[in-house]
Amino acid sequence: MRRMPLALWIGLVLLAGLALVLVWPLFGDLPHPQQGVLLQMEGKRLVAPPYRPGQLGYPLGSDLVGRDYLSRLVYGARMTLGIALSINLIRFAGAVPLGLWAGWRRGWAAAVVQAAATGFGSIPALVLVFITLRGLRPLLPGDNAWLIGYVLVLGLAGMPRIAEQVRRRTQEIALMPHVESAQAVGAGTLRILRRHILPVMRGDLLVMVPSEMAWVLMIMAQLALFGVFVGGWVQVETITENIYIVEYIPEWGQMLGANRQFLLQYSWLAIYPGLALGITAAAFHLLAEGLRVRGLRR
Amino acid sequence: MRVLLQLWLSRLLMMLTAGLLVVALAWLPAGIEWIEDLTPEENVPASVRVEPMQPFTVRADPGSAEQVRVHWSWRQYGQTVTGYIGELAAGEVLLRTHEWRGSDYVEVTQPLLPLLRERMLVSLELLGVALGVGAAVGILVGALILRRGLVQAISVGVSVVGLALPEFVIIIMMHMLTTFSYRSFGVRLYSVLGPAAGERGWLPPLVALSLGPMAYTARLVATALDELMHEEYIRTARAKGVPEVQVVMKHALRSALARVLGGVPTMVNITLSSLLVVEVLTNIHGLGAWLMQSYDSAVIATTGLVFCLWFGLVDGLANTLRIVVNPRLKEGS
Repeated sequence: MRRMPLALWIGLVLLAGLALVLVWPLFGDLPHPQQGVLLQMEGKRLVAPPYRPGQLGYPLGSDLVGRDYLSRLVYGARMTLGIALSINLIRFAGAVPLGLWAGWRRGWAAAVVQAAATGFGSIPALVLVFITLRGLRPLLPGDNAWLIGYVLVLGLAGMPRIAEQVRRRTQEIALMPHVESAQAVGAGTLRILRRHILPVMRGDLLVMVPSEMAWVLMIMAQLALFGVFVGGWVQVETITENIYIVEYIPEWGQMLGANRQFLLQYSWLAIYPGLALGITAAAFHLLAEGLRVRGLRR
Repeated sequence: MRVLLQLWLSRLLMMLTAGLLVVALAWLPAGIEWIEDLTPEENVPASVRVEPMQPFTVRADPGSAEQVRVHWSWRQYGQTVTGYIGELAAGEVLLRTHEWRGSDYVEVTQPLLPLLRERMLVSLELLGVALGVGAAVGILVGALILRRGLVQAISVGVSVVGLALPEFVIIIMMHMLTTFSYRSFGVRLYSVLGPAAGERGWLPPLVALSLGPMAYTARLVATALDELMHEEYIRTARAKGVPEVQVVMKHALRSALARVLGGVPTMVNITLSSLLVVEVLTNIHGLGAWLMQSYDSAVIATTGLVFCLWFGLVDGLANTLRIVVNPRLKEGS
């Protein structure tokens, strides 16, 4: 048996850990991610949030209104990965058929896909997405409209690049003898693409999917650092008229972006979601790299 | 020559299209005539009133969301965009800010391009050093893949980790390391305040920014060398008794570098994206930080254009070099 690449091993182990985090709320006893408390007794002292990691039974500390940070991070994994998956789904659902069709048709169709990929590729991805989302923000009032806009913009921004990769690969596969044979016996375009080209491309897609997932998570984290994230704000008002405005939805990007200003004061508020995003992106990168190396060895 | 001309014409067209896209997107907010607030007065969005010492659960009321209607005008948008393009063509883009003068809140205008030039130099310096250091170390790390054992493992490990770890995680970890070192041993490894605190402040941004290009170059070199070392001409060189170091340096690495040039545009694209994050997190007053922290559409559009220009130029130069070193490409085949 061939030895599995180390990157693949590490990537799989990290993703197995992530899978455990995703199912943790089903089996583990976690506090509600929205449950907080504004004052607590620690011995004879009254203490206010944010509670430090380890203080008062909060393993990873709490946020500004006393919500358990571990619980928010665990629940946040579902939301964050759900958004990243939706973005990837849009990218691949649009790019794969488009790339296959352009690669098969060649001519102007291929030129359009190539031009779109070059055009979009000539602006740094973060600049393009940031400028688009910043411009669209006032035009998309409400959390739901903003979420849809965010997912669509990130999805569409990566589509031309994937379509171009698929187009190039389709053109290579289209020259293979088995495709020529299928053409010779009169197979239709759709059948050739579905039965003869797509299966050969499976290995390439298997590398592209985790790689794109990593890029999407990275760009979500980068955008969050500049205050572009999904999820709304919530106002917590005490009976003494103190007002706290904190992030509502437990989502890693929002948790990182909303708490970046506290990096020096309450470092855990930004470090944990930042690390969660970074390590998850790294896990997908390692998986893609491992699969790529395994493919090369074969 | 025709191939080069075609290349630069296509790059020019690409830069122009990308530039127009950036300008159109950056000025989107300019088309808003007014925003109508339809939220009932008594409606406080997603609010919870709590008592201290009592646990509470934050729940957003779906009906309490802010309700607004945006009135958009294509005419206003078009006028603003054409006005900006006119200012840009004349080299007279203005930065409009507001400040208090006595008891009056007045609009202050100043030319944007000199400010842009100042920040551009800071960013170019950082970008140039990071790309240079990254590519040089990357070639070395990539070449080490040919060794066996621990050296090879380190080479693969460094390139994989460099690609996988986001730049903001590296900066956060470096900040934590120097804070820990200072608190525990009284040793300040580098400053967390960035270049403003002196030379030692350059280390975190340079490390964070050069790790990506280094890992990417290492991967390209390693993959190319892996294939090239099985080529006939390498076998011939070895059979003639050429020392292994010379075989790698003179024959294999030279061919591998041609492939590295093909990966330069992707590398620059990734590094330019990282530059924005690095500048903001390490307190560098460069072009990237200006773009990400400004609320002014003129600043965003102009800095966005500069990024497109940089990318187009580097892409064009990398492809020109590829054509120059590869005779087959020069003939247009």
